[in-house]
Amino acid sequence: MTGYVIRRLIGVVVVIFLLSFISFMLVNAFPGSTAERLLAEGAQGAALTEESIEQYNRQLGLDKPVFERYGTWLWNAVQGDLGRSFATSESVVDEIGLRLPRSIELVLLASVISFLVAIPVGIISAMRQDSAADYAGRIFTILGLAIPNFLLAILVVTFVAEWVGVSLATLDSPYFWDDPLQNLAAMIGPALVLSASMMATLMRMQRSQMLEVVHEDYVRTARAKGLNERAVVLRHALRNSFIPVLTIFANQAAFLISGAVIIEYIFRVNGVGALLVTAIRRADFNVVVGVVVVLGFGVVLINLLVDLSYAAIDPRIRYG
Amino acid sequence: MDDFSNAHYYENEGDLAATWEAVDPTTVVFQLRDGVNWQDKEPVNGRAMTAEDVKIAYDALRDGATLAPDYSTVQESSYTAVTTIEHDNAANTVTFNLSEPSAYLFNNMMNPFHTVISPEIITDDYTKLDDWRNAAGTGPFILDFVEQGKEWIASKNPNYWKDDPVSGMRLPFLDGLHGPDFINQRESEWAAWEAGDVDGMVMWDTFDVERAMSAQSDTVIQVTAPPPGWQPYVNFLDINSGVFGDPRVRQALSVGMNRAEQKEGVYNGLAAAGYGQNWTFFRDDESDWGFREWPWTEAELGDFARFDPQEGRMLLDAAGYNDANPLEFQFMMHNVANTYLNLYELVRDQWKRNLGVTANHEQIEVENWIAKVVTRDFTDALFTWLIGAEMDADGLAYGKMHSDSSSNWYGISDAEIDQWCLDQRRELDVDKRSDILEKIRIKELNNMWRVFAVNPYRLYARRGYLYNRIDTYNAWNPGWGATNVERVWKNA
Repeated sequence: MTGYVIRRLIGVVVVIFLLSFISFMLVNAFPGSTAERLLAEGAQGAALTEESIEQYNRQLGLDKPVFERYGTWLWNAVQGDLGRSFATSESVVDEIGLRLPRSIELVLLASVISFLVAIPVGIISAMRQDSAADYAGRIFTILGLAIPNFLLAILVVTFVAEWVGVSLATLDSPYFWDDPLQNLAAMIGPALVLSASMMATLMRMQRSQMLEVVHEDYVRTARAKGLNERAVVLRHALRNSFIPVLTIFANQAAFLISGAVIIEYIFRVNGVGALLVTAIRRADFNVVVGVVVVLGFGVVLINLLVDLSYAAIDPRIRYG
Repeated sequence: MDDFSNAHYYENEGDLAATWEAVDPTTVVFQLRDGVNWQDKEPVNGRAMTAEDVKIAYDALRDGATLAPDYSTVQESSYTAVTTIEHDNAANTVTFNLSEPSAYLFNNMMNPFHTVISPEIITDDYTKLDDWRNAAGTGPFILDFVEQGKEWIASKNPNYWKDDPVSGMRLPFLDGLHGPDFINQRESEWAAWEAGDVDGMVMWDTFDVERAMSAQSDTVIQVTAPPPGWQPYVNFLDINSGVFGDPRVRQALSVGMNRAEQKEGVYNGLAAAGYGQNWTFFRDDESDWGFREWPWTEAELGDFARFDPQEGRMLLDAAGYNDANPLEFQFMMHNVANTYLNLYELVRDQWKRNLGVTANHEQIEVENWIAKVVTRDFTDALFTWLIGAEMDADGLAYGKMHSDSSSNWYGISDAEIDQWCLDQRRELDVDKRSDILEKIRIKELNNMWRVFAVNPYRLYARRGYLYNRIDTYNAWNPGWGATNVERVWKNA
């Protein structure tokens, strides 16, 4: 087990290195330059001249070759310094640290909601196959998969404002530990929207796995032993149907994190996603790469944890 | 001559400067206000502001090399006439010595970018200016916290030096300010408006106006004049050679535009003929200050602002373009859906219909669009509304048209214009200065170095309980829109 974890952690380092290299090169391939975008933010480009662009590029170190800049960035990054934002001069680590709690909370909340809704509904849908409840669940699944979450977010923001008179996009979201109620009031809307596609995917997977498992011999045996249906479902069928669901959850977590980027922007949750969108618009390289690396690390870490959790769920699985 | 006010069209009000006097046309003495302290925070820690602080700050503004070798500031061009700045801490005065009279000096000093920064920052490390924590001035509020994308918080400066002119009580009255950061996403902004969480928002068109009014019954729509920087126009890559080096081609493209159709078709009538210069060019004897604001009549915009497709075809024919050899060129604009894009499409359509000219659309990414204008990185021609916010007519005359100016993004190079641009800088008599500026305007419009479409009014929706909130885009500069705010719609 320890050897397996070490090998996986080495893999994590390699993945993060590749991710940082690719994202660094990609943001450097943006059309236009950081200096142009930042200077253009001034009063109608009042500060923008060819001379000022050159000067700004020198000031930001953008006049150096891209590989040299990447080398410097990497050297600093391994020491925990992701550089400074070109736009705000703030440390990228601080910028991310300020916003990461909101993003983690949003993703966690969306995951919990997805799980709490998808698993029971998936089970019910499977156990009452072709019933009205099953059809309702399946329709919801198709809708959840078909509607892109940015569109769903805009629809929710618009119609809640119109019908209920509440603007989900402007609710102040303090940190959870500062004001839990206000925090949850602001986060529940984006979390629900973010959870929709994951919920649909998990529900579908849970349903199909349950349908497969309930026809297995050991489930028939359990029933033959005289166990009640609740015990059959929860103790025998559910646990065995769970590994593929968990795998899907790990894959979906990556989508959840990337989906959170635009959801944060629309709902005005000031998390790392919103930071990323703003940074991309400004070609603020250090922030973009920093956020991508942190998000990438989150995805890789979740995958690792899920892989390790297989062993806990299925005793037959052992890592050597 | 007591001071320079009349040369600048505005009534200037001192802030850190209590009074000022032009002892001769090239020497201005500012008497600084006594008892002004810096805010009580690092690095100034509440110490008294001195005349030397002001001198150092303005030296840095007018000469970037003060900050760092090879560094230049965007403010430098405002102070080209300033040769030296002297200070006298005991008398609390600062003296600007000029090489020649400078008609544009005061207005540019009022520009929000021209701030007095403490020498602790300037002489230590000017890059600290980029960090909000180092924002320490002499103003009424101290910046305590900034989280980009969320909020900023400022608290009252207990050592502020200014009294309320009405009550005589010490300002500020508020204990602090809290500014939620703006909303980036348009539908989120609409949701906030519909839920009553924001009290005002910019309207892009009359459909927006209807939506705003239907959502909030007390909606008031303000209509304000756009600043020059909102004037849509065509910018040519090369006006000195090739296709657009022939003035007849540019003139034809102007008379081939039906501006009345643009006004009604795109803006539902809420637009007027315009020119990318500020209102100070237009005299009006009935006005208190002798001048009037936009809008202008087409007759004031030279010989080629009228709609005359027949003449347009004749001009093109004379330039060698006709049905057998039609004019075709690349024409750039970003693809962000708004009324400017609608106007751009209409302009292309009008040229096709009225002149047989094909302007092929080339798309630009919106984030790079301003840079494309400034660095002239486009093919043939580009549609834009970027001229630049300026505090003084000089910025739009010398700044945009003198051949040596770094803000001349158009390739305008004309000896007569160059001389007039310099002349208006030195002319302190307001009437004579206006005469020079008018000559510049007419020469440009007859040459059509830039071809101007109609200029839309700026629309702003606000809740009824907000009194006459000024559109901040327009109020950025004095005179722009602040004087002609009026109500045109109001729900019963």
